[in-house]
Amino acid sequence: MDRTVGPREGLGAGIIAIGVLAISMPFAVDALTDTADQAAAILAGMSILLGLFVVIAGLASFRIRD
Amino acid sequence: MTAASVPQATSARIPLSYVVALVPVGAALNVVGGTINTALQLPTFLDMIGTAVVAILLGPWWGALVGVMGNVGGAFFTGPVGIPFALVNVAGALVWGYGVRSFGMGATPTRFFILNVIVALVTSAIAAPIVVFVFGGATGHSSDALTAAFAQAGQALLAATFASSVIVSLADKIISGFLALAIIDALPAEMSRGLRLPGPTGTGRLVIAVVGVVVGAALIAFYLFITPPAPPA
Repeated sequence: MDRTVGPREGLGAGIIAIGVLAISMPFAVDALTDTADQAAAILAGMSILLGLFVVIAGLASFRIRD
Repeated sequence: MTAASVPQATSARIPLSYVVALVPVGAALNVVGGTINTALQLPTFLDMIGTAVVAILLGPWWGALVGVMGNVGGAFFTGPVGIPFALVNVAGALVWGYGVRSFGMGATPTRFFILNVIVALVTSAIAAPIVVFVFGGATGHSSDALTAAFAQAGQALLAATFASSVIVSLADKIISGFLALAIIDALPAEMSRGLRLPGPTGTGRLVIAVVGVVVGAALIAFYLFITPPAPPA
């Protein structure tokens, strides 16, 4: 029987996608502009960390049960 | 498994096979559309057709996944310029997905047309700050000429970028939305069962899709008419 997915899994996939975006954004901006600033580096690191947590949250929404 | 237990698109749950098949295809469609648009230097984007198909058929958040996959994956081919605009793709997916699936905006051709206009406005509102704050107001897209014209007319850079983005997006989202409608019509009817989409399936819906694309193309012609000619090199 074909497995099915519901709105919860869809939302989880969307959350994971936004997390991936948060992780990839610093790399994109770094390639686009010349940012040697220390504050920019800290912000980029925080964005990657934030993205990891968002991806974990998305994965958790796949696993969680009511 | 009996016929009664076959999962239907009308229920909240959809077969995983639909997701596995449509999500990568949608992302690939976005990349191909964007690449063709860049190659032909068209005053559109065409990088949200797959997003619209998946958001309408599977749901808004699956569409958001397709949008991010398309823009981040496309960065391997076209460079990192597209990555910040993944947010625009996500917003488009949410408006198309919730619009058709929750608010019945796909019930008639007129409502679907209005939905595409709303998508254009929302995506422009998100794209304009990205263009201004990340790229300084110009991304190398053909709409930059229109932005410069608006800025020269005395508008602030953000307002000029938003205005030019709305004009370009209007044509782009109308074309993308109605092309998505044609693609959905070409897919097995089982996939779109329960969705309220304009017109009957088959020729009727295809005619509506073609009319929508023609309206979008007419808007592009209008855009090319009002865009100031590029200065000689």
